[in-house]
Amino acid sequence: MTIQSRPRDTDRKTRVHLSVYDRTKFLLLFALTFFVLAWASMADNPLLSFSDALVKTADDKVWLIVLAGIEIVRQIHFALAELLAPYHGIWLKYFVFVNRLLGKLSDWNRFRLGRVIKWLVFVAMFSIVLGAIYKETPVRALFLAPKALWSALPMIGQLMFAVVFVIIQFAAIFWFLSRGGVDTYFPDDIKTRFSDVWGQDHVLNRIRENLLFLETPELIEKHGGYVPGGILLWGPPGTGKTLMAESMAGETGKPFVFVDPGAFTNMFMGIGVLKVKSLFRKLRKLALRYGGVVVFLDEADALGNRGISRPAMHSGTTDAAIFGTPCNGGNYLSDPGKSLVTNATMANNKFMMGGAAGGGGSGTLQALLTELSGLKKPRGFINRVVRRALGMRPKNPPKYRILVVMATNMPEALDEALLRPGRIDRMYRVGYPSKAGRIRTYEGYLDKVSHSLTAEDIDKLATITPYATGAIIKDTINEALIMAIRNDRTSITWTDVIKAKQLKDLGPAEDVEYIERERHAVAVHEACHGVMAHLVRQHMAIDLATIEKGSDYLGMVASIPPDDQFTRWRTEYEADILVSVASLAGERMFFDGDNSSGVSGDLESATTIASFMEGHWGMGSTISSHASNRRNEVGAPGGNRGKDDGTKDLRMALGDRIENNLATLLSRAEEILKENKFKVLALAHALETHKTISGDDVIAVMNGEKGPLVDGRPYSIQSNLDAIWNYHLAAVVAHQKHERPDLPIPVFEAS
Amino acid sequence: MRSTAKRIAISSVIASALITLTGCSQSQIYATDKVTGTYVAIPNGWNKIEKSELDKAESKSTAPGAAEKLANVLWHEAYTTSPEVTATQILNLQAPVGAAVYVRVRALDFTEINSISYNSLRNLLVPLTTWLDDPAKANPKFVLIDDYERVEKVARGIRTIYTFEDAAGVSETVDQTALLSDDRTQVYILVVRAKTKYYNKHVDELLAIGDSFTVRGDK
Repeated sequence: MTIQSRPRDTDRKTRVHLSVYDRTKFLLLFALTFFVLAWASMADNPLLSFSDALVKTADDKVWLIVLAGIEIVRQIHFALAELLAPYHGIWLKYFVFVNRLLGKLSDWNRFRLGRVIKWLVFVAMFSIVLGAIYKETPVRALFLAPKALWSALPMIGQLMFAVVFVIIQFAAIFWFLSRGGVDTYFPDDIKTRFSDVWGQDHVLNRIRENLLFLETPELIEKHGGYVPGGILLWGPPGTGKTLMAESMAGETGKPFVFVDPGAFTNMFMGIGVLKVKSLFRKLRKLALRYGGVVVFLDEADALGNRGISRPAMHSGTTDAAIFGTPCNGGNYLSDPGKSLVTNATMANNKFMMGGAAGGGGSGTLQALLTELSGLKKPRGFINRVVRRALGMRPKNPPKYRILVVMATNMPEALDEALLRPGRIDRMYRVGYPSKAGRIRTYEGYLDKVSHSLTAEDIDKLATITPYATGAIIKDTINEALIMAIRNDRTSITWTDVIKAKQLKDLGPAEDVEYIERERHAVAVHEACHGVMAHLVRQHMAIDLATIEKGSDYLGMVASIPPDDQFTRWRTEYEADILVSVASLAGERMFFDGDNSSGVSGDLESATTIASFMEGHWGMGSTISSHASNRRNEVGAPGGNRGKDDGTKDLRMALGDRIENNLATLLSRAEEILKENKFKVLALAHALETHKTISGDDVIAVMNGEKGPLVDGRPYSIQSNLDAIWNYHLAAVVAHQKHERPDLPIPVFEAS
Repeated sequence: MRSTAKRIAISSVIASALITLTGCSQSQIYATDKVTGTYVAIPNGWNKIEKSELDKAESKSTAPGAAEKLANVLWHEAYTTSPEVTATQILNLQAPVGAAVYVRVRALDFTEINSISYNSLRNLLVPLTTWLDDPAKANPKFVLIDDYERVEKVARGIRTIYTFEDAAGVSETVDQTALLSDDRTQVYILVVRAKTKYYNKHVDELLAIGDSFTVRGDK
């Protein structure tokens, strides 16, 4: 069955049907004119009745009836042509030349010609009506009209004032409310340059390219391309996005417009829309005047979205919310590991970040979307109104060279429509600086102060601060300077920097003194993590270990990756789990099978990683992805629990397999700790003695060497280890009886 | 098809309405002088006596000041039910055949401006006030039917309806309205006359003529 379409005009055998309006418009015009003339007769003669006025008008204005008659004949002709194909055919045959003549005119000229004719008809009818009112000939009456208008001007002026006064009040209020939040800088107003941005060279190169296209768009346009008009800089806070924008302002020879994050948040509905329109009016003006303009919208997530959540590009959740355990169990994990645990926990808690509709609201975002990539409308009053009134075609809008740069650390909160190509053409992740970038950044900030750090120190500092952003580095150096000044020095030393780093990483200690048996228990707990990390985790180096109570932890062993590494391996995750479960294994081993609740965070971390290994990363006994199974609702490998065959392990439920894996790793951790029980107690002793020690000190204790703070050599002497063992036994008894240990903590003389 | 028929029907209605109007005539004759803003509605079918005939008849008058008065006439027209009535008969007091209407607007001279009053308006055709003050001097068949003040937009005056006996002894009823402009420079006069017998027979029609007399003044 073929689809029946409406016939094309050229296929029709009859004339195209006229609309009701086209059918009656002239008759209605004549009728209206007739009634106006009748009304004029009645106004002229107070005795004249309505019916007599109609008759009188019909007698006096025969031409109007004639015109109406002609129109009726025309409409009858049209109606016949619409209904009767032969009639229409004959007509077309003999009068097709009229259409040909009209067809020679362009659409625009035909429109203009039609408008001129309509105006002439209107003026003619208007003059006839005026003539009837003024009792003059139509032509004279037409010239009397301006006089009447002139005499009525005072009244019209009063009325206009009354109306305009109210409008002006509203307009003025909204005009004032739509000001602010937008700052314009011209070349050389800002001194920051690309050379002031350190550690983000790959992004800077791209931005430089965008600026180059803005300056010389012909480079790309003459080859049929278009200049990318929008850049999104996204990434963690403090990585230098705003600084980059500032350097763009300094580098470019075009005006630079900064838009405050709160500019589109307003008290009244509609102000945001006005602000967006006003902003882009300004941008277009600047773009035309200076050949281009750059606009920077900082914290673009303030614009909000229309309720569609984007998939998360980066987790912005704080670890404290997840690792709020006494041991701060996630701290010895690498950042990706922490991020993983965090995201998984958030998903379990149905906790959503970002994505909520908000921002300017009330059409602000939509207005922005339209301005960024809407219809290319003719603009300007003269262009749109005056030219059109004079019958001139409005000029096409010029190419506005506007480069829109947005920055956010919550890209998932942005509307999808905002990020599509054509609006935001390029998205650059301004991530954590590379080691080379960190070195350059440290050097940059250290150059501003007096310090005694060598190039090797700076290299090491960059190594032990893998996720330090520009802002963090700046803050750390400043904190180190404050510490130096507090100690009556003006030059920063290595110790100042390390202390500043610890202060920033851990926060200030709470100066809480544990009771002895609890101090020992916390020390043993952290020592288990430390020894295990030292022995099995080669991809991370211990940064520090502490039993000083912080705001949300009792102690911790913090590790850092020595290198920039972007892939993770099964053995590494197993090592992570071993470090996590070491606390449980150690507590049970050293406290006769007892263990504290402080292992909860460790177990949560271990379980999460084990779950991902088993269900997602192909690091377990099955291959299929649990994420995919769950999404596709096909079920995970499992079931047939009772069946005893060779594939029993593979058929176990996911949870059982995770538990089995964890149990295996716990057994391994117990074995390792059993073999190294004196090292655990030695490290616990060092922690009890010094509270906080560095990673180098941990190595010194393990190897029986002298460390920066702790002299590890006494821990290689068996009598000292026996003393530590005896102290531990006393602490265990005290733990069981809830009393003070019989023995004091041993003190060793430095050799 | 239905919508096409509907459109054709609408167009036809508008067209037929316009065409029908051209075949109709007005229900009344509207005697109008737009210069002085004076209007009166006369029943259809009455005969109009042209201004030129009235001028000619009045110019023959030998009464003192008649020529000056004629010169001051701004507009006058007459209508009669009978085509036999002449302009001369309109201007004298002899009862006409059928009914006659005479409407006149005249400018006043300086003397008249200073002396004119409601009584002088009443005494436009016959000495009404004398007849009323002294019945002995009154016309034998004089009866005052009505006498009241009329106020128009730019003029005011007296409408008087009375019966008297003309020179031929025929009882005649006159409905006269004489208005003086507010600036006392013009008089607006409407006289509806008929034999009393005729008048009584067509009283509603003739009263309506007097009622329609409207003065709006110069625009």
